[in-house]
Amino acid sequence: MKRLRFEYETRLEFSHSVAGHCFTLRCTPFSDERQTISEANCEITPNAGEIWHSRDSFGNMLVCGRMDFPHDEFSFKVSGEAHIVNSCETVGTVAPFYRFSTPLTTAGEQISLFYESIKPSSSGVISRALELSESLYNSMSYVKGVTGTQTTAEQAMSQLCGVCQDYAHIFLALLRIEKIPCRYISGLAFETGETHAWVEVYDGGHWTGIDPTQNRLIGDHYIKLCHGRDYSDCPIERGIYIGSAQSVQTVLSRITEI
Amino acid sequence: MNFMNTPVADAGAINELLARYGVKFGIYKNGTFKEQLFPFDAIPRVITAKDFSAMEKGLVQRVDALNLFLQDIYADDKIIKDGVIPEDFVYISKGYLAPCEGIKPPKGIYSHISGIDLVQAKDGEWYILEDNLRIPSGASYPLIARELCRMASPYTFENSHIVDNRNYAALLRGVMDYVNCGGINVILTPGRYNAAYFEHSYFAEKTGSVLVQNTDLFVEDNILYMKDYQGGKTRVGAVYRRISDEYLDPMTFLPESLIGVPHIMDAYRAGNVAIINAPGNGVADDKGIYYFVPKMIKYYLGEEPVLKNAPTYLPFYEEDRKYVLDNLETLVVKDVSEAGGYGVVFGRDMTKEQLADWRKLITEQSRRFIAQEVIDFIDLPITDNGDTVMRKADLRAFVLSGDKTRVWASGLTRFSRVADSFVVNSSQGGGFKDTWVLSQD
Amino acid sequence: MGAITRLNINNLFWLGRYVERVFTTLNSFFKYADRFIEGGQAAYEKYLADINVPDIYKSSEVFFDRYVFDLNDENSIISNLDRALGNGIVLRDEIKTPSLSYLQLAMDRFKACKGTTKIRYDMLPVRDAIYAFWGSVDNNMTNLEALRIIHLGKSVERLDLYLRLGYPIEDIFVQLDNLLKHVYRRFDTISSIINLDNLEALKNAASSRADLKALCAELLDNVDNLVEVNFVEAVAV
Repeated sequence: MKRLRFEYETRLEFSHSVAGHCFTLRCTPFSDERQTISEANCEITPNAGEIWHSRDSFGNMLVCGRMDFPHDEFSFKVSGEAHIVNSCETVGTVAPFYRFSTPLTTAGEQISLFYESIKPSSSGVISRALELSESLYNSMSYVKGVTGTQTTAEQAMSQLCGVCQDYAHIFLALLRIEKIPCRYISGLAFETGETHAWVEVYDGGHWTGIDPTQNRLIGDHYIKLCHGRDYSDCPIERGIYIGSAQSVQTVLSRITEI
Repeated sequence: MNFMNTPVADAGAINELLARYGVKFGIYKNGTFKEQLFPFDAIPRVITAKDFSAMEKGLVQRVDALNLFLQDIYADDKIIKDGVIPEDFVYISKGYLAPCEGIKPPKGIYSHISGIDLVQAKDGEWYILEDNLRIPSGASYPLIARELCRMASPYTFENSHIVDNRNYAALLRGVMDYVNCGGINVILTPGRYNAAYFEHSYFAEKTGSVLVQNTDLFVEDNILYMKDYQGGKTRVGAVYRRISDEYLDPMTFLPESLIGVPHIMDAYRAGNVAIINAPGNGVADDKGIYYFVPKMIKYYLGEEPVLKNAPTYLPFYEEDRKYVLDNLETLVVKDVSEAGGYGVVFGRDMTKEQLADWRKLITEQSRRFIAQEVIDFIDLPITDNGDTVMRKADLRAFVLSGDKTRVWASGLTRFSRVADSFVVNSSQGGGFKDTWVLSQD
Repeated sequence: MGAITRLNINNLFWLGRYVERVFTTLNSFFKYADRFIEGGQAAYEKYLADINVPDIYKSSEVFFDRYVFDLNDENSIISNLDRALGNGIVLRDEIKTPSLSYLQLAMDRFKACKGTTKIRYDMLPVRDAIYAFWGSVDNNMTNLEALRIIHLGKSVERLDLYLRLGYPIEDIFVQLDNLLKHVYRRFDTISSIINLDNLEALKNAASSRADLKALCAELLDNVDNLVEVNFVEAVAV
């Protein structure tokens, strides 16, 4: 069990002022039996415009907004306290779509070949998943800057390197070959200093968090923000701007134990 | 009474009127937008009262079952759990949208305007060719054509017991009002350079809706508004959108969409606006799901289907695959993800090598294709440079679901202008006829 | 009364302007046409200078054909009719199908006149269709605010062209009055840009053509600004 103080900030700087801006944020962690969130606070800059809340089909809380005035910077900062029990499981239900691949998690030739070469041998769902995670971990190298948010699992598999999002997508593709229900998780992790992505696998009424990038079950230093079938279902921030500006994004995440 | 070969008296006058009233559709050729008149043939298709009454029963039944299927798929999945439809056909379908799970559309209606394509075989039997539950277009053409025919040739309609079809806009308006969640009705068009822009603007005029583009709309606090030029806002209760699902909301679907309305899905999910037709309907009009519609009718309604499907095989099932591979020469193969007459190939047109290639492709990608028996459907007479010639034609029937499900007593009859061609789509050069439904035989 | 979207307001204004531009330039072209036929090369040169169109024609025969009928000449009368039709097509729901059909009819009849040797006679149906268009918008439109904006466009265009084309000072006064009425009646915001009472007084005091021209130019500029500021929303994403 850990008590963590978290702070997470994303800042977008535009090369030219944009005339307007719509956004959806999945940036506020919600409480479940693993994590209890208190004093959560979301600060959006510029501090004007319309802000409201919504919820998506995956159950995520959304902060929606619209700014109809020129601005050259946009940021949101989430902070609060999380009490996290040392468990990788939450009770929950599952929708059938979590068993099917999506465009980002479709197994192509590379993933299928890889799967054939490392087919797990154990019988339980979680044990098989952990075997897949281990094989993946042993084959991939963690390299920044070689993939982007739109990189598919198959593309990342072909180059055998990528970041946590790519590990998660390949892992999902492998699990879905086995028809194991699984979902993509965006969150914050103690060590990384950035946002992190991992996977939850469903079995027997529980979702179990597995982090393929670290090849481990998640522990009490993982704060979950949102989930979906893959990254594109649940980006932490999605926005569109009116204007032709380039944007530079900086992300800061700080988690300290209390 | 036999009207089969009776043209409306003055075809020249009608074509002049169609040009004058701007009855056009747009196409892109080599990257440039062009508007063409939709070639009109003055010999109507006539459907007898008896035929129509059976057709009407069958169409209402089919559309009701399809609506129940959509309700089920985006909520309880009973039909899958009961083993009637394999889940693969649902969740891998491009038209299935997970972001629509759990949303209950206003009044529970998913497909408000259904365009059901039928053909009549030489033995007189009608067959369903495909269901269009996303944004079926085309009703405006027979609607305005009838108006113009009655202008140019009024006595054709004397004592002829032809059901007046000029109620389409009123039916459409009725559906919009029925599902409206409070506020005005709007028709959302991608703009002037859309193939069906004539239809968008004509329906806006005839239903008293405001024709809007995405930049006219915005969402605030999960409520959809239209902004006016003075900066005021008007709440929108129903959107008849003529843009496809993937472009509808860049915050939920394709982020690069420039024609969508950000956050409209949030307003829809909150029950504050009706979207006509509901997003996610593509899962039910997929060519693969088509195979299962008769089963749906039995499952949801406990009734025998009134209208038949064309005999269809799913290579997904081993038995069907074997049949398809053995009989490919006589079948028509369709790619489930294509529309508008594209992705359709006839076995009889294939060379030996092509047949072998297709057999391989069908075996490898069994979920991607369906195969159907070629229905020998009736030819209809059309006038071609003064001669009457026989051409293939289909019928798109329009079924509107509001307080009840109604079939519009007309439809869009499209014909191929090329002899022996089965392709009737306007985007591929087809023409259209008025469709007369008789009130007595 | 239905709300008007920002896109439509711009289309309504320009629909009025283009229909009027076609009508008035056609009329004045007819007036000059007799003089061209009498052989005055200078007549068309002066005409082009008045309406601020570059002389790309070099001879009165080419001018006769291209300035009237050439859709590839952006200054031609038919190009302006094409723009009117383009604005009309996106306004079908506001102006109603019959009004739009008159624009289409005007275009079809206009095209049919190409190569004519009796242009004023053959063009009569085009003029008829434009008159019918104005009758139809007045008769059929249910959104009166939208109707007023079309008329505002028409007045602005007419005043502008009458000034350029040397219409009699009395005619110009009538048009100026008309425009002021439109502006007064509806668009309060213009008073923040231009002092209308002052303008009215100036108009009454204006005696010379030059005074009047300067006045109208000021008014037109301000209407343009008004349209720019209030009607035209940046829609590019």
